[in-house]
Amino acid sequence: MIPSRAARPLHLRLKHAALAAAFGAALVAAPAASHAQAAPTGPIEITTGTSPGGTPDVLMRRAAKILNEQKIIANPLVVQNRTGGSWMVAANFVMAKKGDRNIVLCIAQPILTTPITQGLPTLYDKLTPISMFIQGDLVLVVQPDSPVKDLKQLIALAGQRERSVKVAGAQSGSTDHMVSGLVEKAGKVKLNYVPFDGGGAAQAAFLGGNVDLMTLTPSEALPLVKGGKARILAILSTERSPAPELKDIPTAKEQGYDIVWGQAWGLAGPPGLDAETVKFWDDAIAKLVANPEWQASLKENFLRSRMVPAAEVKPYMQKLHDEHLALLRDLGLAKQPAVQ
Amino acid sequence: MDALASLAQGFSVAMTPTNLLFVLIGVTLGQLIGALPGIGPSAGMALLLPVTFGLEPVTALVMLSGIMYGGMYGGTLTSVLVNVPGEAASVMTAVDGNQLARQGRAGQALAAAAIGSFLAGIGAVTALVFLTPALSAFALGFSSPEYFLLALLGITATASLGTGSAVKAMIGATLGLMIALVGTDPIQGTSRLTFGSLELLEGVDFLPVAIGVFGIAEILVSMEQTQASAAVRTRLRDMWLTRKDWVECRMAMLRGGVIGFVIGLMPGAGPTVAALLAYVVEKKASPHPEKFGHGALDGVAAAESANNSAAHGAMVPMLALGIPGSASTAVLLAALVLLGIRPGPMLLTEQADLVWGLIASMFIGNVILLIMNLPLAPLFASVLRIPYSYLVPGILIVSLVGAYAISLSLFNVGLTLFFGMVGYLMIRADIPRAPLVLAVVLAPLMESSLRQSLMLSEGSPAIFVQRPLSAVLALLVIGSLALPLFNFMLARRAARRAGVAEALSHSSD
Amino acid sequence: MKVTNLVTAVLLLALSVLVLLGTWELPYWADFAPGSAFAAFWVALVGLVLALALLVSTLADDGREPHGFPDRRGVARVAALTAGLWLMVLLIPLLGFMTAAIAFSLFLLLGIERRPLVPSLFTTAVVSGLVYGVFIAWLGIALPAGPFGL
Repeated sequence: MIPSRAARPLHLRLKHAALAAAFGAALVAAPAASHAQAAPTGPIEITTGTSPGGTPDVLMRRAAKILNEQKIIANPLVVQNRTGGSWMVAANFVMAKKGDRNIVLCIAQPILTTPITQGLPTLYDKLTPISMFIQGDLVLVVQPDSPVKDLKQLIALAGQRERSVKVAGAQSGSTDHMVSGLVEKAGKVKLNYVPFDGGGAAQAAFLGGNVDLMTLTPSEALPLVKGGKARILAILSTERSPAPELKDIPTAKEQGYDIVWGQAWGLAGPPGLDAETVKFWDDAIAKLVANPEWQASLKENFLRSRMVPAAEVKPYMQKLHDEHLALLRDLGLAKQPAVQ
Repeated sequence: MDALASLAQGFSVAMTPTNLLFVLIGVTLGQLIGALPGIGPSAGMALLLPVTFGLEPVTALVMLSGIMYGGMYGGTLTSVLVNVPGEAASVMTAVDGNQLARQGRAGQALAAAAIGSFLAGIGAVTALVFLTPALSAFALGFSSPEYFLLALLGITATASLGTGSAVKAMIGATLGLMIALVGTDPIQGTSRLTFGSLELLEGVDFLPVAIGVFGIAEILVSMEQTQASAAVRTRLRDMWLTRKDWVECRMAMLRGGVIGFVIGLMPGAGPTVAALLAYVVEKKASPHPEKFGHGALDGVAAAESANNSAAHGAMVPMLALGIPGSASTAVLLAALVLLGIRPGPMLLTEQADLVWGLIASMFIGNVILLIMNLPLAPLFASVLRIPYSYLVPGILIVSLVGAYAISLSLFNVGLTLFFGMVGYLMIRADIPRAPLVLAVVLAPLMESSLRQSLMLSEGSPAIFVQRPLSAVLALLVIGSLALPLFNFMLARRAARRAGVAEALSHSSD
Repeated sequence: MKVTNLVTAVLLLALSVLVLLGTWELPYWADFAPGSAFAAFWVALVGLVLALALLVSTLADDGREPHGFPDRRGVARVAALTAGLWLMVLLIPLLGFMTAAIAFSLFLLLGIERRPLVPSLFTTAVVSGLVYGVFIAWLGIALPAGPFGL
């Protein structure tokens, strides 16, 4: 029932042996095991690879708070920041806890991209998929006094002279960098992408008027637009956002450029996580996604919560991975030889 | 008058019993967290973030920011008393503060740091009250070219930072530069000198270097002698600042406070850079630069004033623009988001009560911290009356737990020990450690901002003199390089005229 | 000081060569700006120059400054402490942080410092109580736990 038991440390093995015995008994008594018994015992760690305050960290803390407060999950949920190695330290920590029911990993883009850019074995297909349940849009912004009014004019401007349009963004290989690559590809132009030490520093460079273009999330962009410090050119989703503040912003697709990119976050378990626990999480996240407080809190930040359940998450991640791989290869950043 | 009316409004928010209580809680926690090595204010704020759920936004924010600047006061304690930097920005305090403690002047060092932090903090909040919108524009005037020149200004000072030969000081700095090279190159994404280690992919954390090179190394040296267990014998009443001390420190506090605040404003540099540069400047301005590294009270005062005013200065881009200027303000922004408030340029007008309540609370918090630190400085210093060998296990274990807490991995614990050994060998080889620390902090800033600048200018180096702020900084860099040379030539000419050239060649050994 | 200086110079020389070789394959220049190897190249070069400068000045200097080395017992104590620290780090995954730290503290106080038993036990208790109270109970940091759950 619980695979690869020998690989775990002694104290866990003992705990789980007791648990397994209890389970066995329960299964005999009631063959159609009810979900209540599937809950792991003790506190559960949600591992993230960002330092405190990063978007995934904030999202996981908020999810944990609602899951606990609404008694969807009775086990205390603890968010731990295991930073380093562009999420690889966090991922490897969880990878080593085979079958451990008391730990899950927050899935964010670096889980896909770091193995690609560093030439490491893929991770997304080795972890036990649980669910992706938070999605975010991205927008392209220009300086408020920029002559560029839409994407077409931007591409035209960039086409006049190679690398004349300056783009600020986070480190090489980040979301910002990939979006810049997509714009280059869609418009067949070359941009001058300048990587800064994180999104905050890039925003400062943009607000100081040092660059022309930048990728932001709607919750970052809208206050700037309101303060007259930026203008949104396009939203990079497949269709317009229904939010009242965003519904007038045209998508890049509408403007004739196939630039669709977004952010997604979710959870995955360590390799070999048993089906009961996956089901436990699947149910919990379904309840979380249906929770009005959770939906409201995401809406405030222009994020969406649509659940990709455990059953469908595998092909979903596969598709995401292939998109990232293709794009990073175009940017010349992929060290990973092929799709594994 | 507008600002004063808003401030009065802010005080009425901050003075409610609940908010006062949470300012008190925040600064007390900050003091404690700052004193713990490894866990800096930003990590402490993040760990205590869940506590703020369910509080009013203002209440949560005054508490969290209390931790932020309280940490700047607290970091001094461990730096001075046991030579382990309590947080990154207190690293220069460890250099001189601990030397003072060995001379039985720990109380003075702590008092000077507390007064300096307080004055700089109050000055910074006052600037915040009146100048936030103007300052935010100024902060945005700083970008990569300015950061490069600023870092260059700091790096060129390393040769003078040692206490012995200039070559050895530069060797120390070069070792720091080598450490800073390790990790993923932020611009091109290639991994450099990581030798296949995943843990090194994001580079070497600053704290393991600082804790190892100062704290652990010092303990290793102390182990050489069995007699090291003798406690520093001082009486409580010898631990107050004298009038002479005050005169020595007051200009250092002013300079440190101003430098710290200006650097704190910039979104690309934080309190650590501020403290380093203030220390370097103070060494040049001080009437007794030879004392630096051997226990200069004004060095401690400058560095501590700078890090506290930088922590306050970082609030300017955060409140006015929604940009995090430091790791701590990033957590504050996250807290705002979690509380359902969207940060950005409109925060000042849309959430006036929150912003002004927060600013007013910083006046109150700084006063509480002064009251907490000043009378207690001699008391804290009396920790040193415990025989040293009984302090050693505590220092080592708490340092290593702190190193573990940085990223929850044993790798950083090992790294701390490794740098402890490096620091020990440096002491034995007579290589000063301050330049190493300075280089580790400034090198990444210098390298990436140089490359960003040239990318922004499409390869033209003119960007370093075309912008008004960078032109000023470029002049400063040239001046700081040319001045010693000029002085040297003047001295030589004077010496030749006096015909005592031999005497000079002896004294310059 | 002479021997220490020579050792320092050789070590720095080796480190500089390591940095140079370790970044040899990386690009020196990229488009408009320096590439990944630029800083590394110059740092290594400065390292080489400084190492040679130290080497030459040390060899040229015939002043006989006394060595700043500790005596044999001092070296033994430093080595014992270093070994104890590394042993503690290696034992943490097996014993847990708290247990390893307690063992280390007792080793240091009783084994190396040869302090009396009672104050040593007291110090260890205070330190471990502090670590538990502040880091584990209050801040909730997940220190590695051992078989005793701590």
